[in-house]
Amino acid sequence: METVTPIVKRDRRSGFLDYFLKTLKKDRKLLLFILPGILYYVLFHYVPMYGILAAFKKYTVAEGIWGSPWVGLRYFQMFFNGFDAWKIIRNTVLISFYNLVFGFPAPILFALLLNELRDNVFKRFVQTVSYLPHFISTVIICGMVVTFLQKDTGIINILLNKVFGIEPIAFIFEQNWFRTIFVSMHIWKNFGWGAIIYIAALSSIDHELYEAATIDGANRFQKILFVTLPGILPVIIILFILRLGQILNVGYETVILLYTPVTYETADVIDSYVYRRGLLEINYSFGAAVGLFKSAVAMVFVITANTLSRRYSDTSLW
Amino acid sequence: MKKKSVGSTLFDSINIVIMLFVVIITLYPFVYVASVSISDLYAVKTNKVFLYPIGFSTEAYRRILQDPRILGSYWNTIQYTSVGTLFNVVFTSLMAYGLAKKSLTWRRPILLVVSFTMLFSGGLIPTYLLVMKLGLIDKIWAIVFPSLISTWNLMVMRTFFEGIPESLSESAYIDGSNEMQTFLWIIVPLSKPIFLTMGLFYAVDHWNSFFSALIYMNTPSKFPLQIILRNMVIGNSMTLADDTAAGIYGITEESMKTAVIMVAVLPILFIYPFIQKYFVKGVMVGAIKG
Repeated sequence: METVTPIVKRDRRSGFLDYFLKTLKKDRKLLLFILPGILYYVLFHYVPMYGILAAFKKYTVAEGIWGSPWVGLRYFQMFFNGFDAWKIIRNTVLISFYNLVFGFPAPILFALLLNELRDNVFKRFVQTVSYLPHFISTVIICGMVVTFLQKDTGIINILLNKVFGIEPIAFIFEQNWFRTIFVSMHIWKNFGWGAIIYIAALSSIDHELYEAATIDGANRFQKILFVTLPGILPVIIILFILRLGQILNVGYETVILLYTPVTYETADVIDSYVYRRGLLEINYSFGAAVGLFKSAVAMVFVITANTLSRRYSDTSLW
Repeated sequence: MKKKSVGSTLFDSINIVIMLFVVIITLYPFVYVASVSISDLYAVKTNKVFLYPIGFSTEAYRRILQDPRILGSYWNTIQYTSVGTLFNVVFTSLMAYGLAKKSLTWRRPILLVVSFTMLFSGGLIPTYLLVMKLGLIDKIWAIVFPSLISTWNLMVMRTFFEGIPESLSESAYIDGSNEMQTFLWIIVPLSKPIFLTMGLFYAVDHWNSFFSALIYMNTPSKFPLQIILRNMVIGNSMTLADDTAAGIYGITEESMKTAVIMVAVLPILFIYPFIQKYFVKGVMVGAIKG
């Protein structure tokens, strides 16, 4: 029974295949563990990458990828020359931007305020309640949103009407309201969960720093400004950078659930567009082309974000 | 004796008010939906309910629970969740354990290959075409396989396994055990917390998922709960009235919708207090590692 595993050396006389087989033999006990996973990744992540070729061909299901004729960049041109490209890119970026501006600070503020609570029981109670929306499915939340915003029976409209005397608005069908609804919903869903990391960071700030500040005569607000905030600044920066990397991923499930043809103008994002035009309307090549465009650009963002993050600290996705 | 400034006390009071507001904003939607769902149908129709139930009626629930679509989809979701989670945990843990072994020759390249998938993906259409070509459309496997292993979860589990001392598995070899036996009888019992956490993560994900069923399932009898929920509460076409309970049940549209929402959300609400700490721990482990 060997406890020291020999290292397989690459020998110039034997070729790569031999080397490969030797390593397989050496690690044969572990093959059972990693083989299924590798098969999964190859099949469901890498094979679809090959399927990207469909974007460059006039794909039909019967002919498959091999058999379909090559058309080069036709579908990309179709996309960029049409009216939709500008709209959906704009929507994606705008919604992402609003999400960032309003949604990013929310958990931070919440964590900071929570941290200042004196009563631990109340603190834990608020915290536990705040995570709850994270576990509720998107469908349920959208369902509640739709119910609340309905024109005649929705509680928001009733409130507006009875208290402020404003005419009922069919929010879901109004273009201009979509982004507000979307961002508010996402903040409601994520602020508690997003605060977890900040709360953890807050608790790791050295108490001696606070004591030193007290000795120096700092009042409560000065402590927050000069001890607490700088203490969690690294976490904030890293999370911000990583978030920037995700800028094209807007949360298409919510969009698909809440948008209607009336609100496509402001609601349609890249992923919902690919779903509707590419999948539902069975333009596979076109959908693949737009999807590829998005994946490529998103990759650039993520790589940039991770490089920045790694340069700033040791934190990155890898 | 520390003297608290006026500003500090004021801040504390305002903070408590803000926190109470946060709690109300978070809980109110659920309270409202619950109240409407058990209120008297006429009170609901005339918009009298806004916080607590007015009158009492279980009519909406009766109709819902008699609707075969709802019961059927509930059962579907249970099936998809249990099968899916089982596969998820088994395959993720197997691969994570293998990758945790430093002696694996191809460890680095494999990790690279796996991590790259977080960077770039084929996209919706190519994945859909693959599932179609594999003949998995309209089958449970279309829901289980494409998201079999979550790379994030994989890495968290791997980190956990790396933390288990090699000496444990080595002494198992000396006693004549092979890798799989070591894994099953020594590592797994030691790793109960991580298995539980991972299981919960995957399970909640499956329970709440709707998009994969949306694109891969065509037969209505195979729809999971979230799809039925969506059809009933949001409608899947231009107007909200299409396809919702309104056409069939008339006066009780809002009662119906809220009852359906309650039926879908109650399981989560029930187990939430018990499981939330596992999730928080899981996130912390994952985040700190990352």
